[in-house]
Amino acid sequence: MTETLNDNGELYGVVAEFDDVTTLCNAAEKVREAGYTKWDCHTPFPVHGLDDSMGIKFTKLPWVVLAMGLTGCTLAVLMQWWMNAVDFPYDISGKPQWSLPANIPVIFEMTVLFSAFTAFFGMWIANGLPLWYHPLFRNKRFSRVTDDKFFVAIEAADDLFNSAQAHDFLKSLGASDTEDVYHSAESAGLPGSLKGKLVVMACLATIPLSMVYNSYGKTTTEPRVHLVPDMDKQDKFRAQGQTSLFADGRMSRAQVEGTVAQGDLDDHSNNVVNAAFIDRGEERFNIYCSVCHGFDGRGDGAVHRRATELADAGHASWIPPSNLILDLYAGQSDEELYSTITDGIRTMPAYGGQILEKDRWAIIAYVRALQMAQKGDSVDTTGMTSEQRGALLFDSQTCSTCHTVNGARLIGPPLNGLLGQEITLDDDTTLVIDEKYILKSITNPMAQARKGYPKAMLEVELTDEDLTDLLNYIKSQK
Amino acid sequence: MANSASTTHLDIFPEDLVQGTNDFHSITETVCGIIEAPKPPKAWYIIFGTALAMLGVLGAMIVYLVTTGVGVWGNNQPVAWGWPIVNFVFWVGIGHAGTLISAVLFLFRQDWRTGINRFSEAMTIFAVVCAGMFPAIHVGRIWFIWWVFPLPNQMAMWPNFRSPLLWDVFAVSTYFSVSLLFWYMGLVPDLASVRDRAVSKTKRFWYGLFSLGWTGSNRQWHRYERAYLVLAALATPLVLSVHSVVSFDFAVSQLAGWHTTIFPPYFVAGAIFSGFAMVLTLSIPARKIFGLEELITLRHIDNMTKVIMATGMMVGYAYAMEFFMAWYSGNEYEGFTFINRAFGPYAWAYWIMVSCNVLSPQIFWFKKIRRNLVVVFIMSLFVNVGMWFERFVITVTSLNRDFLPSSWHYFTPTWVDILTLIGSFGLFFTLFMLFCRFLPQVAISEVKNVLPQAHPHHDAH
Repeated sequence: MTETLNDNGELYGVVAEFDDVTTLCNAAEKVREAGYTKWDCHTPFPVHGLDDSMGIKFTKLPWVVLAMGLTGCTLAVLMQWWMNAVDFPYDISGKPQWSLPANIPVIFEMTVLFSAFTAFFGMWIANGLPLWYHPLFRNKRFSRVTDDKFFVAIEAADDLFNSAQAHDFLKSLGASDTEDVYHSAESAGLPGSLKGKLVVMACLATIPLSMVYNSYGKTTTEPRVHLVPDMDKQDKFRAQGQTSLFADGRMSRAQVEGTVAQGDLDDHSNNVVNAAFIDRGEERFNIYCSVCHGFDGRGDGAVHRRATELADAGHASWIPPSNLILDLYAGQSDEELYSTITDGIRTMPAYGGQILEKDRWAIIAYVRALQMAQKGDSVDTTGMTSEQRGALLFDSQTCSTCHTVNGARLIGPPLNGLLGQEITLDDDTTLVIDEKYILKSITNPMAQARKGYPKAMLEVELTDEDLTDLLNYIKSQK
Repeated sequence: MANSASTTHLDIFPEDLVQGTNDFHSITETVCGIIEAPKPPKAWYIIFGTALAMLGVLGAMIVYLVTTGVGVWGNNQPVAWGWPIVNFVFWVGIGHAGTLISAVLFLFRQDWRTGINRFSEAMTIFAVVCAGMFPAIHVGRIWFIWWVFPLPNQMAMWPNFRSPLLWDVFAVSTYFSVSLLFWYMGLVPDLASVRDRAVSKTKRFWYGLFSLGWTGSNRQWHRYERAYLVLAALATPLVLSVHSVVSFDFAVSQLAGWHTTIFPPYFVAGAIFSGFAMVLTLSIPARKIFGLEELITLRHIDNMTKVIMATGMMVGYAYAMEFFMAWYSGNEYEGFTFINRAFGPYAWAYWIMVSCNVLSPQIFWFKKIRRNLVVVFIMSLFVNVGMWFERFVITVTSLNRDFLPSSWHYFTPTWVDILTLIGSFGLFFTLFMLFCRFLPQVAISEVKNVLPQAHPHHDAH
């Protein structure tokens, strides 16, 4: 009796010690038969058969586990469906965005995870644990419950409980010892020192959280912290960039002489230009090119006409498509035309992605046919004034692609009323336009480029006579 | 002891699972005594010190890696998956034996598991810690590792659930969580044993905290056993799924040498094989150092060597079958990959793998060898080495000969690769040594349960 602490707390019950499992099991049966309900056996390991002796009802835990396992399964299906098929659909090789087989591994893992957590936490909750205080721990003998002794405890809360009777009863069942067990008189709460420490820790734990909350959704002028500068600022060179690595300072290297880059070998020498080939070219030209360049190649397609109407009404700006019949284009090589079709030029988009390689060559063959067929249509200039001839040059040399004579700005400056105009040059000097400047701007356009316009104009090679005609035309435009 | 004649199931075995003149109390003494000893054995200090130094190396390597970038490793095109994935698969495989022993053998009522299950479950958890570390540091910017989980982020993106790498995230993290729960649940009654014997206040507090107020109540034992059974039943398919999913990382890709349906069972067999070898590597010295010979007996070791021999032959069959399929498929890329694997630049690695994994376990046909601890210990090291090389061979030989011959590349690890692998062993052994010192190494309550006197004889009826 001396081994039990008794500091005048309430009586918890009577605990009896047994030495072997057989006596324990027999005793358990008797205690149950005696009609006690608030009692328990305590053993160092699960004794098989004791559940039956005590009449313990089978736990419902497995059913709870099953229910939660099915919940995990369902959640996994919904989560994957919502995340990958609804909220952020992944397009991978045109595969369906929702396909169950690929989602099975995660469904399985979540089912197991939910079931396992339920089995684990459900078991502790059903057992009423964790429990940091139990009156049985106040009994010295009871500490052998996790070693080699077996105990039966009958609680004072049981309706049939009577301390003296319980002692006698348990002794008669073969208990080697029986004792009263008392609750502690003090409260069973946490010790004061621990409480203080926990409060301090809880306060400290809020500091990082409050810092995160404080900066959440706010902007800052401070530059971001570069944890690993190597990753954010890398010593690498980008195509088209500058470098100190090569003497010429260019990162993109020129092609090695005599080589062809992969994919650049468009050998059209095998194309046999015959009637069928040109027919194919005509068909493709009419589909892809005629909308702007017109069926005859003179740059008078349906899109051009409509766009010009809109531009004239002030609704849009429009750069007219080139007249392919002009000598300028007749003089271009097949490869230049091919490049224009493939990659586009100025406002014309690239057609390389839409027109097959062979068809591009067929289109060129057809354009050549158009140019040859319409060559005879070139204008007879006899009897024309210099300004009139200049006007023809203005169109045929494609000046009109970038310049207007009505004051509207395209790519280059408008060319009306030039003489006497004061302009600012690229180097911020000012200049009053005279004839000399106009001529120079045609023959060597970028030498004294105007500020505010792209430096994109190419040199135009003209005979002196043509140059004079063009100058006169420009001068005549007020 | 006199009761033993009346018990049934133990008599069919030639040897008792617990040897010597042990009773309930002596088992508690033996296991708790290790924790209660004022100082651990000398060998513990030596191993723990070495492991701690290796752990320091690991820390330094990780700091170097994170601050510099994954370029410090040997990984490069076309071998973009080098040692990190090899080490990941190696460690995750080691873990599998623990779950097999604790869950699968439990379901099959193999009582001999009780002596070694705590041990091997601890091994599982520490091995999965080592395994999980490798993919985490492989991402380079480790502070973004949380992107692998389906958590809302500033990119408003979700992970791709059809990627085997994401399945891996779920499989390995589920596996780790369930293993940890299973292990801790088994520990609770034993922690209560330590609590009830503890003399110092600190020990009482900490062991008391983690034993959750366990009183050995039979009403609690009832639910506990049910939950234990449920967890075992869950862990069994889980352990099979984890290495299957790991093998999907390879098998789902379109690479010759990886794209094979045999991978899931082959990986699972290999995982059990390597895991049992690691249990032996750990338990043979531990039982000696901590005096657990009567609880982890020669019969346990004998049984484990038999498992090693069986799974060793399974992986041998898989190696052969891979070659057969490469030939039978008529696919020239498959054919090339396998001929290159056995006779190409990495032939040395391939034949180390075959000799360690297929040939060497064959000596376990002899009972004398199965019970010779020195030979068994050395053989367990062979298997560990062989299984590391298996993952190396699968990963590197399939990658190093690309489809584009100009990309062909002979992979060699850097010093950082090597020290990181060594460091991961430091992490593993540090955790393991701490476990040996502070937690019950043998499942006390479970071992008591296989003693003959643990079973009531109902002569009262």
